[in-house]
Amino acid sequence: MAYNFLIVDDSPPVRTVVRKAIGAAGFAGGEVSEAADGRAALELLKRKWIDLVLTDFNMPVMNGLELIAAMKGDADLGAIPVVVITTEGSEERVRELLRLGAAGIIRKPFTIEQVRSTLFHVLGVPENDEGSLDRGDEDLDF
Amino acid sequence: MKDLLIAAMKTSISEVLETMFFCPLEFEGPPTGQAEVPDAPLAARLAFTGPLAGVMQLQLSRGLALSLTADFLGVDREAVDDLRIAETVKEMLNMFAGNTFSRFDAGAVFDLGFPAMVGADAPRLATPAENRLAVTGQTLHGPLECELIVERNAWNCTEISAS
Repeated sequence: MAYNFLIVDDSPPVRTVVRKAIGAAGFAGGEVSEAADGRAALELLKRKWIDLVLTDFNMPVMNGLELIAAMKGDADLGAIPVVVITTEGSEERVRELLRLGAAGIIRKPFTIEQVRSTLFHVLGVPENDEGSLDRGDEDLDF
Repeated sequence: MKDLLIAAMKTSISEVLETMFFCPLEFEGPPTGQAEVPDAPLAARLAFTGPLAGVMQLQLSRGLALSLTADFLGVDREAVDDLRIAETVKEMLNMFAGNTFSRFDAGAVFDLGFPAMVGADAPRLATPAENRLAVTGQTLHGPLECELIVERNAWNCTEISAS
């Protein structure tokens, strides 16, 4: 099964790294979209089918917290899981993110394995069931 | 408190560089109150508020920044331009700062501003030496320096539950 992701971060290099981490984690088959802030993310979410959002916390225009709140308040977007990738580590902020509905938190700096484990958990893919993932061309063997 | 903050800075910087930039780092000498700026044409700065308020600044050579950017993005050095270098340096500083404060006091809320590049010839912030902490690390491709400047003298603050 292929999953479509949306990466939301005001840092282009971070978006690149997260995109690569998604692929390296075994989710190469779906589409990965990007947005530089929460508002752009909301606009994109209205146009595209997204299975999971990975968002930064601290962004201009609309930050991660505001994005989660907006999504949870929308009947069409509320069920989409949101994983926050952030340097934010304060216990209070983490509690706030989870209270608002974040499905997971990945702290920077992160490893591929941490991304993989979180995505598997949030999407409900068994850790030993990588065969069910659509890896796109990765599976082709000539 | 200063020792705890220095330790948090060193651990954070090492962890960020090793985990995301695949770059080992060794720290040089004891921490100083006065930053020593080697040949470092690139600098980024971000402001922070919270139990402590001030600025964190990162300085490094363009050569090191280019190398780190290539490793971070997983591309050849030839594919790295100044824009990508600047964006990566800013993100690096962002991670240094966030990680440092989380380690220093996970129970406190620090708000980080958005990092910005500053000119190498930008005037140094007018702050007493006692309010500055600087760590210098050495990598295979050159040194980098991270400086923490607290705007007000809060070193005697006992409200922080240092981790």
